[in-house]
Amino acid sequence: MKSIISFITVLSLYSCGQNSFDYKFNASPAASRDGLLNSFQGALSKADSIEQSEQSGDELASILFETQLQILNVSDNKSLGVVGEKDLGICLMLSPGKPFVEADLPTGVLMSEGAKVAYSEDEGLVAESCQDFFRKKMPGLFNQEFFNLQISFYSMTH
Amino acid sequence: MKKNQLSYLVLGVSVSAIFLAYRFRSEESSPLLQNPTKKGERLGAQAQVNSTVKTPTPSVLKDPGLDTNLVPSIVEQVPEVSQTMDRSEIKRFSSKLKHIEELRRATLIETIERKSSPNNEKAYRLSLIEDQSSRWKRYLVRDMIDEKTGKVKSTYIQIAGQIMVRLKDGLGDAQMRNIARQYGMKLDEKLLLSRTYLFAYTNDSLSHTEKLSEALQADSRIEHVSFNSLNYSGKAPNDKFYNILWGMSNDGQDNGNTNQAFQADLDVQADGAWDDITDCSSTPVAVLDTGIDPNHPDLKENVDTAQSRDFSSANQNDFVDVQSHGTHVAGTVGALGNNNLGVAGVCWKAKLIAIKVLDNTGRGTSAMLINGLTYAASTDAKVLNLSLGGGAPSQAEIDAINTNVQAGKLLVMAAGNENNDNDANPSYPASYDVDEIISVAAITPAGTMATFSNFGATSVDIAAPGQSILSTVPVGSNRETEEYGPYAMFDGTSMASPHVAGAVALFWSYAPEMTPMQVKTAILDSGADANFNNKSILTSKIMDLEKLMGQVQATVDFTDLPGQVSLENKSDYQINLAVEKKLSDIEKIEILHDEIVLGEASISGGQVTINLPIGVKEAQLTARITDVQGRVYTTDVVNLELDINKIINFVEVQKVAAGSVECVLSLKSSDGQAQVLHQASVPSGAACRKFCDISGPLVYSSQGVVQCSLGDEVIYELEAK
Repeated sequence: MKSIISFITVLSLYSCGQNSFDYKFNASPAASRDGLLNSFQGALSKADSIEQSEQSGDELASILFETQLQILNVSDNKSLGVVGEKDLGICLMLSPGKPFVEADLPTGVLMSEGAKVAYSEDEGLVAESCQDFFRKKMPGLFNQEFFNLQISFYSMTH
Repeated sequence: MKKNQLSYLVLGVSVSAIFLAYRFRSEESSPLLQNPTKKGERLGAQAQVNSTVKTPTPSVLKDPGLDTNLVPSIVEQVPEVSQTMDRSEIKRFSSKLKHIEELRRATLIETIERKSSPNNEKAYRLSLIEDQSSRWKRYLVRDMIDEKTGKVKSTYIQIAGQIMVRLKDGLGDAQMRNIARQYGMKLDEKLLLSRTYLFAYTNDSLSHTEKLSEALQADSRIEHVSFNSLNYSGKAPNDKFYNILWGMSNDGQDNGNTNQAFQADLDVQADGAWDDITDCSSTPVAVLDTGIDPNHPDLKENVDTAQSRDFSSANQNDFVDVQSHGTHVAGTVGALGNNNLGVAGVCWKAKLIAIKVLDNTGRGTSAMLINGLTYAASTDAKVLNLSLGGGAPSQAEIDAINTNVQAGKLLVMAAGNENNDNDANPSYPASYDVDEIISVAAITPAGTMATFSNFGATSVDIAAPGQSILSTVPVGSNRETEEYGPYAMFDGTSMASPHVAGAVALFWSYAPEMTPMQVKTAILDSGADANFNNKSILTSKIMDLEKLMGQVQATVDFTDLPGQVSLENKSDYQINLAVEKKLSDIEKIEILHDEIVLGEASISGGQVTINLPIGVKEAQLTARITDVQGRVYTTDVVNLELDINKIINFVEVQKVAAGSVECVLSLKSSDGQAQVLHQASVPSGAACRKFCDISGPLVYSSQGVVQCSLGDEVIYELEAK
């Protein structure tokens, strides 16, 4: 995991106007997707460290936003995707105060290593569907813990 | 007066004359017995002739073998009376139709009509309707029109502003996004079926909807396009001719052979009971009649051949019906339901015991009937249907009936077809003064008492459908029709009685702990009120199965429920329940929303804490009750508006964001007011999209639409559901 985080850090440092990563990102869409997944796993690791507080939602947004912006910069520079289309990606749900239990997760929902984030296996969802996705997939939890949960979206479009 | 009306009158007068002559002769010859009947004190102990009870019609097909001198009753063979019925006018009925009616009363935005086109498109009328009280708010009502008659053949309800697209093989999300952008649609849901997407579009005007649909259909990337139609959970069987069975569920379809206004919902409300139960096999029904065709494809699985007998001939095993009346009656009680075939009985699954007491010409003696009744008492039948009459009163018949009473059975009988007041002139066996007999009159599809039906303010108990009734007839018999095959339409109280017998079987299967008299009382108490003018019956009611089920089912009411509930940081909420137990003790009461259990209440009601659903504007509460007998039923839905909000500050995001593009996350209330929740400076438009997609789902508001935009471009939008 350390290597992934370092990789993202390096990307962010060299993302503006640097050509030194042409070689790495002059790659196939599959390679791009691998990069996105790596970034996503990195974001999950950070999200696992969020503690229960009134700012939990802010912190989650911050992590995702930062990660996605880094990817966006790289993508823009290397033309790996069309910017501005409707993004497809992963719905995720942070429960900072009460980690998930793997046995309770329904089909199609995965869990981060630190168990604070549950996320959709499907990478083709849209942001608008995230509330519904978890409401339908985990109705009991959604109802009981709604005020302690943060639902968000991770784009896999680029 | 038309020719057929004249012949009908002549025939009616003739039959009445024969009947009156017989009655006069019979009363003269019958000895006075010690055990008087309810209204007719004279009973004949000698063997009498009973026969099938049907009503004469303008086009009576007389059985050439029928000697009216020997058959001194009202009985005649009745042809299929409704051949002129325009089947295209008949709609399929279910809860869908109730919804259609609701929508037709809601706000009509616009409507267009389209004629059929050469490319096989059928004529239709399309209406855009708004119903703010319902879940989807705006609907397309698509009436398919028969261009010859101008009448509506069928109606589909579709969600306005939604369209489903399946892409061609090999295409996927990338092409879907291009298509969405090209046609100005938003992806609403990626369906589980491969390459299939549900899109939403904002401009749901009919002209735009049609243009969009046409353009999508013409797009070479798209395999097919369809609207998002509503389906309904109302329990209606899939039997081919179910839509003609007005007696089960009357939707106001024109039955063609009456000149009367048709009145919807005057039927036995079977579809309302089928939600609870369809299998009556635990309450066997003996059909004392002309036998049953055990090989009829719509009956064979429901006929108990081992217990069936013939008492009309020397061969007791020959219970097979060739005359058709018994098979018709049996079909109304228990033709196999939901088998994609023919008709459905009141009982979809049944145990029918054929007891043949009328011979192949439809006639039977009192001796045959007594044998049949006595045998019935020894079977495991709990209900006996006797769609027969015309014989003189007989103490032996009463005794045979009482053997069944002592065995705990109920007897359902046709009141007779002579337009006769049974109080003044009893019609046997229906008029015997035995509590366990339910005497049944016939109503028309217009909800009026059939002109032929007997009545009686004290001696006829209840009314049920008995005109233009489609049911089974023996395979290969001369009653088969080109239109329906081994099914035909008959009229008569003979057809009304099995509606009630089937209802008794269905209800008793649902409430097996009830005694016969409790069942009878429940049936008579729960009928739907009707006005039969000068043809009074005891209850002035029509059989109503849905209400009947309510005689067993406890009621749970949500009391003191506010219109709106405000929740902060928790979803627990306390409600009050008023519970009324009916037949059995309650084992469990669960409160649900959309099949999700929100909480469990005490069996005596009172205060209960429920966990309200979050993420919806409105909770649709129902109570699901389980009683100690294992019966499960739910109450009607009660709506509860929810007011919850979760707003995030985005302090951390502000630290991250840096740039010159302003991205605005706002909450737009229903009155158009916008409240800015967060304004982020990001490096680019693309970054704004990321911001919106990430931050939008973190915010929830039940008070309006969460919207994230860059200038005029809305990037993220979520309306609270």
